[in-house]
Amino acid sequence: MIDQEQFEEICAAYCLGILNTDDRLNFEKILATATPEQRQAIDALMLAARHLPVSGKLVAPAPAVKERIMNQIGANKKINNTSLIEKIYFALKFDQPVVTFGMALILIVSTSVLYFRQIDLSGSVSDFEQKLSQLQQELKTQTEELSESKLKLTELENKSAENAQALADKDKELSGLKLASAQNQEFIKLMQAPDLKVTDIKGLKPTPKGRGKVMYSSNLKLAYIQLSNLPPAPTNKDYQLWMMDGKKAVSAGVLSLASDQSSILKVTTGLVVEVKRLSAFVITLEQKGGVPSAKGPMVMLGNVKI
Amino acid sequence: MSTESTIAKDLMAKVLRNDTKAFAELYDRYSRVVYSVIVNIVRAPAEAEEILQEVFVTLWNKRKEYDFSKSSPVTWMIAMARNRAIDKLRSNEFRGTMRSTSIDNSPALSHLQMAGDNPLDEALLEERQKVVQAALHALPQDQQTVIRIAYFEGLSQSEIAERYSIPLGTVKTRMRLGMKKLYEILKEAA
Repeated sequence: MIDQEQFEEICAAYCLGILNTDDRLNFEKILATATPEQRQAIDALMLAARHLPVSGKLVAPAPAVKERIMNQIGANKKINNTSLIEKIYFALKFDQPVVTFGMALILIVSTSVLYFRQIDLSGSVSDFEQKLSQLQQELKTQTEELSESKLKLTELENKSAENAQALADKDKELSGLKLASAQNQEFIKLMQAPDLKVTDIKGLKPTPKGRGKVMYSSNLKLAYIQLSNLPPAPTNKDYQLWMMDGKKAVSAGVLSLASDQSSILKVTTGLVVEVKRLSAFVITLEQKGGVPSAKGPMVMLGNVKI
Repeated sequence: MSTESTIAKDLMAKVLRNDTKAFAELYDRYSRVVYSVIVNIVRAPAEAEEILQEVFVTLWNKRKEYDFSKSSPVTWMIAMARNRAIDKLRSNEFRGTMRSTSIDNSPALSHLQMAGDNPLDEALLEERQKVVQAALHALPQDQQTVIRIAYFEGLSQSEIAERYSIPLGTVKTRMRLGMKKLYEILKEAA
């Protein structure tokens, strides 16, 4: 416990700021339980101490000092004090050289990376665009070639169809020729038959200029007929051949005459009446396709001579 | 509290919000008294300007540490300036161990409660200087010397006794009486 005089001695040193750290801390402990008289003393001495800064001569610093200070704290960077930019500036501690340098470094590195990456991407995009253009050109060319190929294929198909038709026609013609050849051989064989018989037939009133011969063989059971100057049958009519057995007419089929009005036809039915009983050959004009018994007019007649 | 002190605190509040214009105004208002304290200690203008610059830059950089409840901004600045100036003085004179220059070690910050007009307000500075100087001159020379040496050189009571080859008790008594007398004169002058 110190008396008032001792307290004021220490207090004077405390107010003048000349106590060492230990003494100062000890004194502040005393202050915590200071008496009113002690408090009055420290208030008085503190007030006196606060006047001491102006106890010497008053001197103003050089104007350049302020400029240096403002530069050092970064206040001369034309920052708007109330602007959002300034708030961000200080919030991010850009006023600290280390932070500023670090951010600048990050910015430079980031910018460099983005710059070179952008160049790389630009090159890639350019390459892709070029390749795409080439592919589009190739596709266009191939599409045109495909169209041409389709056109050619259609033409070939048409030609193929035409060839097929021609081939069919040729086949038909060949078949006709083969048939004709076979009939010719058959006819030659008939002409060489020992029992060959020939009966002349002549046109009657409707077709007086008509002429013909019926050649037949009992052994070969074949009969051919040769006609000339017989006009074509009307559209809805056919010429029909009949073989007479006595007075009975037996149909030997419809005759298909060629347009030249002169042809040798095979009597497809063969001999429908035995030769020994055969008395005549008659051709009538009948309904289209022929009839079972003769109804139409008789246009040619040839009697068989025994 | 004076209008001037209120202005100082308002400016400091703006400085805390990173307002450099307020900081510039704070400098304009109080740099002279701060510089005067420094130059009266180190007695070399160039060094005093360096310290002044250091004090204000530190004020800006450590503005977030300022505690309005402890002291006025002006007292804070002067305490910092005085401690750094005394350190510089001691460094120049190779005076042995240095005292801590921590702002928190300043008694003016740790305990001083501001009451009445602030004697350091710029508007009152010239008038206040005359009053204080007159008050100091009114003290006996030995008391005046002890107080000046203690404040402007930061010498402890023991160091003062040693420098002037006088008993420690005598230094303590002169200092006590001188400070009390100074208070009485200033009180009467106010």
